[in-house]
Amino acid sequence: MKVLQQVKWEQKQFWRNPPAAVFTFVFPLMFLLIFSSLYGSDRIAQLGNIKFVQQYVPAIVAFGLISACYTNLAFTLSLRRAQGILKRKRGTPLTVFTYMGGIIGNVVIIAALLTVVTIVVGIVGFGIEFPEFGTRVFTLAVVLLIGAFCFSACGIMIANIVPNEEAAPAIINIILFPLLFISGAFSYVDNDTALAKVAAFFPVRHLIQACQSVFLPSPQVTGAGWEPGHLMVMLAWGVGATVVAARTFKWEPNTNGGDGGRSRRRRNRTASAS
Amino acid sequence: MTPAISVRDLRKSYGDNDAVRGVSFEVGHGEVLALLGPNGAGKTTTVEILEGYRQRTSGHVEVLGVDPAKGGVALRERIGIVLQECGIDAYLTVREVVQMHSEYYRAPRDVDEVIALVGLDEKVTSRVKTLSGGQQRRLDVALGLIGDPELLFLDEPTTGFDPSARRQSWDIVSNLTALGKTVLLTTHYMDEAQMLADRVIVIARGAIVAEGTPEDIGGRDLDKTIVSFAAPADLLGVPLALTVADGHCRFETEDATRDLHRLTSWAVERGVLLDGLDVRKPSLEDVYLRLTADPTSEVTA
Repeated sequence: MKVLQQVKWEQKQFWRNPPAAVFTFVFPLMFLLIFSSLYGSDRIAQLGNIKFVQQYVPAIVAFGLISACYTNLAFTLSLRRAQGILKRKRGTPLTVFTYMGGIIGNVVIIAALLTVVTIVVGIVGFGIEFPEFGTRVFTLAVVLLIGAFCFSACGIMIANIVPNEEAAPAIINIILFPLLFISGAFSYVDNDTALAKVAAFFPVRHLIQACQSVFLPSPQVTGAGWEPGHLMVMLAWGVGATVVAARTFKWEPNTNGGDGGRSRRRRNRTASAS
Repeated sequence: MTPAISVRDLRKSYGDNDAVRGVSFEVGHGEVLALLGPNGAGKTTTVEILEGYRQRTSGHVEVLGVDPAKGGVALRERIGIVLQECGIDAYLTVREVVQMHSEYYRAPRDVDEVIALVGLDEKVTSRVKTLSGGQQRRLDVALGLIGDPELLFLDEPTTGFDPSARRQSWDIVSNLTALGKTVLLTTHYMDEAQMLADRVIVIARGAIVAEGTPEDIGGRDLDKTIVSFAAPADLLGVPLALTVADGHCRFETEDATRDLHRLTSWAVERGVLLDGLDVRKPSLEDVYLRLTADPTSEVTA
């Protein structure tokens, strides 16, 4: 119950911060439109000559989930830590499980919305198909839930190493974007390439491929499109990141120690009569 | 009845730096205690140990009968914390933030009542990020009060305020004490301690240097009269021991009538003008400055 209340407050805050909402939502859709327009007519020989968009829409579904869970969560947490909002929450009876539950519930809702929008744009705008919809929609839901767990945990872990507000965008994106590129989020990267072998160590490629497998028609993929290997890698990263995140979690802003510090001076400057 | 706060020989070190060096005090239920001291004196460290944010190095600490390092959620239900520098969820409105925080507590106070208490009734539908610094500080206080705490920590509640905003905040705290709440206030403003506190503890360099009511702290009631004036060009032959600093001469005396007579006789004789001559009893501020002064930095003439 308390978690649901927190989810409600998180949703309110998310939609009231248009730049963040736009970044999370529009960014993946923008990539979908740009790359689908560029390579829309290409076919991927290694995947039974399917259309580029047929494997690109699921890649963007994966990117959308990462954008919602990892990027959005890492930003939100590191900013709230730097601004002392986490410290304030720590002084109330709110438990860490309720608070994190609210934040993660919020990003899962965003990821689900983004997934639906991406797939609808893919079907309506680019004529992709959703093969075996009746069974594979369930597969996709499980893939995305495991992905949400994995990338939320990674987001919390990375937020812990962000030293201040100014450093947040650089650190969060410099970790993500190279991985997106080598993992095939923006173009097809074949399994036999050296890039793919490096990418296989990280969870990004596994999420992309697990999503793609849901959308590949037979004979490339038959049945429900399960890829247990990819799911196991994401689960392993999720568990590992959760452990590291829990051990390194800090409620308080980084300061130079003692009382005072940068944020305080900033606020004093703006304090005035009401 | 046990006191609301009990601290015995509290110590806190960060590496080689001893931030708190053996502090002991108690706060009774319904009492307002002010911890006074310059920046870096150890006030915030002490308070943050009591709030459960920091672990102490050694010593005994009890807050509402519980060790704050182990108090957890149960203790946080009973205390309110107004921190020095803490952001508030910027995209919510005043009412929403207070409502959200009220949901954290089992028996919160009425949301609108608390908003009215801190005087933000006209801002209920404003987003937090549009509030002025003074208004945000009052919202800080509202969030500290919403859980209906038995004990409220106020860490420098008016630092950076202009005088009218400070007056308003003082009224809020006075309202609290009328409700019988215990308040631990830290401040480096003397007048604030004087206005609000039943008792004052002065901390300097990690240790308590004085303790008492705002009226008698540091033996102020018995203290001397302070005479000061703008330093004249020539102090030759002045019949008194003067301290000269920042272009002002001053001396303290137990017999103001006699010493003023000596000073003015000397001045008239030598034709010296005593610009800005001021004769007064020491303020709490004077006492504070004397108590917290670094003993190595005094200039005497």
